[in-house]
Amino acid sequence: MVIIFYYVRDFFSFIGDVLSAVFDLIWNLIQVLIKSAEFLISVVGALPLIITGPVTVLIIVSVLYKVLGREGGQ
Amino acid sequence: MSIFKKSVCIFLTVLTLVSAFSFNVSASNSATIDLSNSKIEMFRGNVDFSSTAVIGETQREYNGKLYTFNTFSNSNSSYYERGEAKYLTCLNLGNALDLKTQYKIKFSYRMNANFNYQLQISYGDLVTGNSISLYDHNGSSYEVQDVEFNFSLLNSGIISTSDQYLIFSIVVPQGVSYNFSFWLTDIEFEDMDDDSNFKDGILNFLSRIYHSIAGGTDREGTYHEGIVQGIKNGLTNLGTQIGGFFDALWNDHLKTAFDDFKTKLETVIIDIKNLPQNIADKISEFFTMLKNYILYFQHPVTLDPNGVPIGADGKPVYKNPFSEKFESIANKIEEWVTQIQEFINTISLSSLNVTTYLNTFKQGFNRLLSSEHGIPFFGIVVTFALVLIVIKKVVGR
Repeated sequence: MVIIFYYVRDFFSFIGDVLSAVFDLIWNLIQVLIKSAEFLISVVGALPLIITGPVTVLIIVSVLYKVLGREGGQ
Repeated sequence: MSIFKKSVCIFLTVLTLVSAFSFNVSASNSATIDLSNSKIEMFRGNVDFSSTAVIGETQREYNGKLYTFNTFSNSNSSYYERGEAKYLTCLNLGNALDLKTQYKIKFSYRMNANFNYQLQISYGDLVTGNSISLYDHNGSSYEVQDVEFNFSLLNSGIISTSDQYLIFSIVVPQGVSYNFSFWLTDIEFEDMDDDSNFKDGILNFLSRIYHSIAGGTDREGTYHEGIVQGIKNGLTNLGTQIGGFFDALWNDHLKTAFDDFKTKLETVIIDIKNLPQNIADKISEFFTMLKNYILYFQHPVTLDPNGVPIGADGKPVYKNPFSEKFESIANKIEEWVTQIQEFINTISLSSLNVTTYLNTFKQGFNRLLSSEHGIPFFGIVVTFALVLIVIKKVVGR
């Protein structure tokens, strides 16, 4: 009878430990995304303005073109 | 007619007008230089010519100012074993003459010498002796000459007219005991590039237009920044302002927001990560309390410090069946986490390396685009190419 309580207690402890370890793994994967974003930002920041400026303008113009084009097509 | 054809016609017409009128009006509209300018100063001859004595002088008035010209004569005959140039007189022109201008000089002189001489007029520095020859004339023992010739100091190698002299000298032949007198008068300069000259007026006008576009100093010595340089400076200022905007946007807002988000995300993830363990601990606590409660009332048993019953042989009667499983799972997850951490470190290192390389490239690129060290118009060409790509990309779709 008592063994059942031991088993139940250890089962929940096991589930808790496993889930904690899985979240730790997920957190490390999220850290990969964060570091990748930092990498991308630092690379873009290090590029000359003559490249980032027109590309920024191109992205803004492309987004506006898409948005306005979609509205005009309705 | 297309714009291109019209432009070619206008250019050819202007070219024809300039060519046709250049011979007719260049000589008639030149302007006389104002000799009352105090920059022009007469000197009495070369200090090396110690035996020369001033035997007379004449005065001429130019525009209300009186100038004295000296007449020289040698008092003692000398014998020269080799030919030697002797200074007769010098005009310190200061900055009165412009390097780029075409001048006409007129003067009259009288020479009375006991030998056939060579009269030279040069322009240069008395101290260093650097000079360029402007006029050369072989004369007989006695001559009166009215001299007139054109000269330009352009491409002479002289970079400044400051403290430069117009030098009158004669070459004494070898083996001659010389004795001479020299008399100079009616000296007059004319600026052949004056604006009243029709051809030069057009050329000055075209020069102003050209230098207004390309930048630089025109024929009249006026500096123009130039449209191209203006556009380049404008683009540079615009780029600086845009760069400042993005820097401020990144440093003051985005970076702070990104760091805040990262900190908050870490806190949330840690809370979420610990939540199952906390719940499991609470449940475990509950069952431990329940177990102890039941054991206490059912039948007393011997418990170890962890609450596990000890059997008759003194060994625990219960063994956690999940400990080995969790250990294997934890080891596997730990292995993955270690690999992920190494990958994250690799990304950070790569980020640092790439940023360093790009900053080096950026510095070189900016140096290439700068007006001080760069290739002219390279920035304009690159900007134009990028704008063209943008337009083609957007409009072409």
